[in-house]
Amino acid sequence: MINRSAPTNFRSNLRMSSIAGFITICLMMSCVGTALMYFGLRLAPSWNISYLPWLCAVVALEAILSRNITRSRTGKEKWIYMASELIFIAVAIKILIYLFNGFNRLFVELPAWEQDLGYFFTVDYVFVLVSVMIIWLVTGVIASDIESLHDQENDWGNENIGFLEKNRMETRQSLIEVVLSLGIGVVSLTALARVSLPVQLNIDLAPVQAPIMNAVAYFLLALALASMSQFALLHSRWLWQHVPVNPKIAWRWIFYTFLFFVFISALAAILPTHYSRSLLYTLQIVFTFIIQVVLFIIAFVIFLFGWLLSGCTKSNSPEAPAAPPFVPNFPTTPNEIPPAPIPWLEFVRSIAFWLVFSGIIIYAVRTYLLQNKILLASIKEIPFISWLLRGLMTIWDWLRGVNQQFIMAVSAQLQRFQIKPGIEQTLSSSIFGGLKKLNPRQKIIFYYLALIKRGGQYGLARKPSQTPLQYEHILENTLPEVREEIDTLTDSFIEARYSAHEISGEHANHVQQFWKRVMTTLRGLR
Amino acid sequence: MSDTILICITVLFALAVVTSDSFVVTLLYLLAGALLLGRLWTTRAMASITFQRLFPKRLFLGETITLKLDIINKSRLPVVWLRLQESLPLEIATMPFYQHVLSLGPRERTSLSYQLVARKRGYYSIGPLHLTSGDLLGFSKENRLEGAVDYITVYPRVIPLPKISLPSHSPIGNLRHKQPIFEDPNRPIGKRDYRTGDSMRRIDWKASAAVGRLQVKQFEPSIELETAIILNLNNQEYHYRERFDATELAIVAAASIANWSTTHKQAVGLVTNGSDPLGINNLAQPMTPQKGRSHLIRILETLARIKSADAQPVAGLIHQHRVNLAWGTTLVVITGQAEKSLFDEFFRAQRAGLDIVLILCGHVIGLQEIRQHARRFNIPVYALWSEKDLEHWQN
Repeated sequence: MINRSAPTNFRSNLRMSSIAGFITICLMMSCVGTALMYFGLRLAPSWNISYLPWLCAVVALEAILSRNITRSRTGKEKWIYMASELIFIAVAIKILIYLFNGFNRLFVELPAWEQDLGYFFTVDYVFVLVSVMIIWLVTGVIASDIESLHDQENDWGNENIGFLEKNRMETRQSLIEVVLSLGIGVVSLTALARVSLPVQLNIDLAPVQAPIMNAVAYFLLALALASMSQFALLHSRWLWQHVPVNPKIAWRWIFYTFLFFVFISALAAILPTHYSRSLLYTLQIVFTFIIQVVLFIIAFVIFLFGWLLSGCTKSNSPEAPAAPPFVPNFPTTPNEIPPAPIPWLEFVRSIAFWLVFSGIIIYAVRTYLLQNKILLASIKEIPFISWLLRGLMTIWDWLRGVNQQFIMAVSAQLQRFQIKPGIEQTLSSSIFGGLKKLNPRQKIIFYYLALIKRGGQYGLARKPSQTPLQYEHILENTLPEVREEIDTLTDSFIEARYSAHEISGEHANHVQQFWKRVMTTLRGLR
Repeated sequence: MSDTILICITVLFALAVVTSDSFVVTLLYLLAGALLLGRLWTTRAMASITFQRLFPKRLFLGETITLKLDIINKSRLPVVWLRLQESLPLEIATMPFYQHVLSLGPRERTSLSYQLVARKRGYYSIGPLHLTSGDLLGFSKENRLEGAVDYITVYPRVIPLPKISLPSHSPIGNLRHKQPIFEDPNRPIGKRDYRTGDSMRRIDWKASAAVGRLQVKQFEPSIELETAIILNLNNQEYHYRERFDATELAIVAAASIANWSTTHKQAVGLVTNGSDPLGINNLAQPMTPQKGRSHLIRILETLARIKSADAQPVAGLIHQHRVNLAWGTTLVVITGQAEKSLFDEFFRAQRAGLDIVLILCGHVIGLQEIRQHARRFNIPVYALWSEKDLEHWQN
């Protein structure tokens, strides 16, 4: 009878073990980053790439975390996400380089990008980018192997234990191979950074004092990973076979692994290396000698073949004169003067470049962040970023408010414009068709507008900002004798303009009387 | 896995030669140390692991025991993981095999236990105990050890048979008898008046003087029942359909009769043609009739181990061992079939002064004919179909 569900404590143990494995990978990648950094410094001592170890650890962490997202996507979505992830990393690296080297460099390089995108990919950037991409890829492979070793949920209850075990062992083998290969890489890079190159190579690259602790730490972490993966493998086997396991074993495993590592580290540190090095020097001489002998034999054989071949060709055509070398007769072209750039075309090109460039980056970053909601939330929690976001949100809200006010104002104006043609029509109809055709409301408005127009002609122009009541106050001050008429006329206009109720014809006629009096008084101002 | 490490060590060695940098040598030491010390650790630690099983070696049917398994690490090196797998016989195990994974510190002793249930008589091996361990890094192959085997004996079922009656011609024994011919002078039961013909030796002079007339002593008749159980486990002499059950029933009957005899302080022996795993050439050794509980235990152990086999026919077996039996011994022949040749042998045995009881187990072809034959020879015949038939002798 096979239990089809894994115990809860088993799942939590697996999770803990996976997390420990992932942390180990990040630390290992940091060690790789250190080796890459010193190798880079050997290539170009002026590079400021001190961030590389941390960057490698962060990229490794990102590669591990994004695996869940990548796994949940299929087909096109997956590739879009991966592309956006890589672009995001590339952009982040570029920003990091500017952070460490100063943003002045950005302003110097920025105009050059649209001329030639090669300026974007500077040598140090390409070095860091390639290093980080390697870290990203390798971390993905290792994380995948670790997940496979710990992912028993799907296998739980599978009765083909032999197949599962074989599969797990192969996965572990693959994991160890990748980790040790990378370790060889770390050692090689560290050695390349430290060792003085032979003079014969004629390469002027001074060695750097690269530390060795990162290589030692890498191998210790690799051994720790091997130990963890071995425990995961055994634990899975025991659980598949329903073997009761002593709960002490996990802690003892950790404790004895630690002791074992301390012991072998101490042993490796204590054991003398100078004797070995003497041996190595001897071996080096022997190897060099062997290589030189082999090279000599190869050269001799090549020479012999060459000599024989030259003999054969001579015997076939002994008197044939040496043919002059064929020189193709290319048509000569006059020295072309590059045409002068067309300014508007250059401008369009520039706009197009920046649109495409920034579009790709913004799309990639947006896609990446939207998929990584945890990362997005974490970024938002950074004090500076949160402050920046709050500021931006405030500005955005303000802009939205302004926009809304603007829209309201425009709509109000449009309403006014919708009325204004009516007024204009009223005025024109009053001119061309007579007042009789207007209704009482339009008549009152006409009287008031006519008053304003006439007031403007007599030096009492209404300012656009003035309300009818403010204008009334001006008129009353100038024409105190018709104060009452002006007051009635203004009130009637407001009523006609803004009220919804019916305006009677009598009221319009009454207003007309007042208007005539005011107009008469205005004429007296001449 | 070790190939990968060896390749890595080789590459590191090449790098050390090319670069002549001491740190590469240090790393070389580190990796080689991890490989070699890991392997050495596991090998040494495994070599110093011992174990012992503590359990009663003999069980009665239906009994449940707890077997204690002590695992001892005699080394100063810890054993980080150790997998135990103990093979168990299905007849007594509560699980197909017992397995456990544990960790042993330096000189640590751990006790594990599991239960055994005696469901069927037999002689069973406990183990072997398979021990597996490996290094922490999984770079070397796992070390495996196979431990020793222990044995356990489950006795056959013993049914009390208080009412069983076995014939005997051996006078003066411990068993009461009805026939006055077997009067035992050691068992006086009273006195009576003298009658003509009474032996003068039986007159109780003191009692005669007291009563005033001749009184003779009365003795209870008793017999000595020396029993030899002839257990036939020849497969060919049992019906093929019920061979297993019938032979098991025969063994239960033999064990019960042996127990009854011992309880009544009578000598009992066992002769069988079954296969005994501890016997010479797998043949069970005959046991001459003897008294005592220790002898009964030996018989029960033999009956526990014994298995039916294609063996010598029972007639030949009786013929072979009859000469070693004392006059008056009762042969209890337990078999699955009684051929004419068997009755011929019975006749010879009776001529030699042996009493015979025939117990037939399982399905018997021609039972009536056998009974008729037996009646002619005055041989009691009992036919047992199941263990319930033995209850006839209980009440």
